[in-house]
Amino acid sequence: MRARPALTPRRLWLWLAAGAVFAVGAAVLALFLGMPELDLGTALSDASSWQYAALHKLQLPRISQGLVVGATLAASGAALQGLLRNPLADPFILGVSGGAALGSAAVTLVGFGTALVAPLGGFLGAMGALLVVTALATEAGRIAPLRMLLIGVVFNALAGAGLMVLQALADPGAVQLTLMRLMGSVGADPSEPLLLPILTVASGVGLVAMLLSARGLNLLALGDDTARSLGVSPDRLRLVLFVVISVAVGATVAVTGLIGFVGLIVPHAVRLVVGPDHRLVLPLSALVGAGFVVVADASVSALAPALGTELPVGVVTALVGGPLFLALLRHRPTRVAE
Amino acid sequence: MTRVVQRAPAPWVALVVVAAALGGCGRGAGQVPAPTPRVVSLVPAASAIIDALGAKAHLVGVTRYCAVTGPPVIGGMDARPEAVLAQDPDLVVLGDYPSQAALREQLTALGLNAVAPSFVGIDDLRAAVTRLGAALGREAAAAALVAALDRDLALAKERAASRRPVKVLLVYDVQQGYVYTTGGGDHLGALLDLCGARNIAQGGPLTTRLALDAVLARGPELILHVAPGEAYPDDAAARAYWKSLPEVPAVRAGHVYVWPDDHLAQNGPWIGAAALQLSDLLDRVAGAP
Repeated sequence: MRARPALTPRRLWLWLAAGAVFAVGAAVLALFLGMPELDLGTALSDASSWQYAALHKLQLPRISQGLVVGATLAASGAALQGLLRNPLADPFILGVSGGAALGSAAVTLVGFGTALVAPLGGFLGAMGALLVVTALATEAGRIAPLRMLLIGVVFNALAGAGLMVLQALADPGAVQLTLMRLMGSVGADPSEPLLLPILTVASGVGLVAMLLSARGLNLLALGDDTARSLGVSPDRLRLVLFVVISVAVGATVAVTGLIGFVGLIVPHAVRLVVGPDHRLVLPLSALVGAGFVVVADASVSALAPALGTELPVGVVTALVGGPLFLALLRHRPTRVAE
Repeated sequence: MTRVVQRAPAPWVALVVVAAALGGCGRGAGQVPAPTPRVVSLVPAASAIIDALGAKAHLVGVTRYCAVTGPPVIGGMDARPEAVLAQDPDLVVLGDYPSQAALREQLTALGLNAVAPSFVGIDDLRAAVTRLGAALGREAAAAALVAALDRDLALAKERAASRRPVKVLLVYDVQQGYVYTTGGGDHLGALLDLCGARNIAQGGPLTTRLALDAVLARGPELILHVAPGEAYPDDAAARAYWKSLPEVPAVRAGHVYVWPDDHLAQNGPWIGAAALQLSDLLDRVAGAP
């Protein structure tokens, strides 16, 4: 097998430029694909037209949200796979998704589900999950990665059971709407202008922390002892990254629901192309993930006239991501597993 | 040779007998027994129809979503078969919904007479009224109810003829930048059609999901939340939400309303009256006299 060239600054920037072109291209494509009836000339020049409002209040915030969410989920997946040394780790595996879903559904189904309260409930649920899972996975001041993974899986299952209890007690109409919310949707709500900035800050902090941890993640791949001997504290790195990733992913799930497969498929595809170096995998996954979610979201809008309704984007990422992941495993089983 | 040994009854048998006797006493104690047939209704619209037929006394079990007061509440629309069985009903009314199909099969297997009329369209409503009237021996009341419904609907249609078509968005809920509405094919779609309104989501599934940019592009002149909810209990709350999109004609003109009860959302005996109220609203939006 031919060895990959070492990561030089030139190679790094070339790949990042390619990733940025992909993300920006996806955003531009989404503008036209997502709303074909939009006349860009009118939308840019006539502030009194509905097209202006559609572009500035709805389309641009929606695309921005897609970029932020995609970048967060993909980079989180890449970081967690490195952190837990497990190729199946994804942003939802640590119980954050279950906590967020339960929190969001609880406030919605008991009747407090206004536009802002539901995301807040989701975020609190995610943070509650983080606290419980971290506390249970900590032994003698150290986080045990495998234990954390298992506790996360169990916590998600328990949260699923709690969700079912709520659904059994709630009004069928409210249940249907809650399920739609959890399926994962990117969408702009001009009545809640603070949601996107809050999401961007939470995700931005997480992304910066992940990018700064790239070298540490590379060393962690060599084993805890080696990493320690080279000046990286595995426990501290894990704790910091678990917290920032959980906050970022919790904010994402609270606003958009569960958009699956982005954190799994994108890092694997990126690693397959550029190799395992986190200094490149993390930022490139963020850029590719951003573009992937935006294109997936634009495709649900483009399909809406034919279907008569807009599918949640989480359905599309799962429908595309699932078979794609299987295809990757089938063609390159060893390298994907790596 | 086999010896048959007769033993004294176990203590638990005595307990069961006593409990059964007490249970039997409990049903009648202090209550007027329900007339025959005894009916359990697991559909709010069916309960309302039975009430409108003057047959509320037949109801021996309803769901917690039914507006009818008095009969015992035995659960949600997915009530346990045991809870239904405990009411000893002669007739169980369910809806022709996939979510109640399994329950209907279970109840039938238990030997109960379970019927599942459809409540989707207005024709379904007429058929359900007639069927329930026949089952309860209230044929005349059912015929009168259907006649009153048809009279109101005809009046609404007549009024629509003299009014320009109004573009309408019916709203079940709004969340995450999406509106949940009807794509037609149900009683709401039929009502809009009858009242001469244009559903901007026409052609979608029963529950259609529209992004707000699609709402902007289609420009509804009337936004009507079909029932008060926690987030949008009244007109003021709905207008507070929609005010961020004044480019929508309905918002600009102040034509954002919340229907004050669930008599529009639910396909029940009140639909004729709801059609006339909707006509009043459409007159106001269209600027008709």
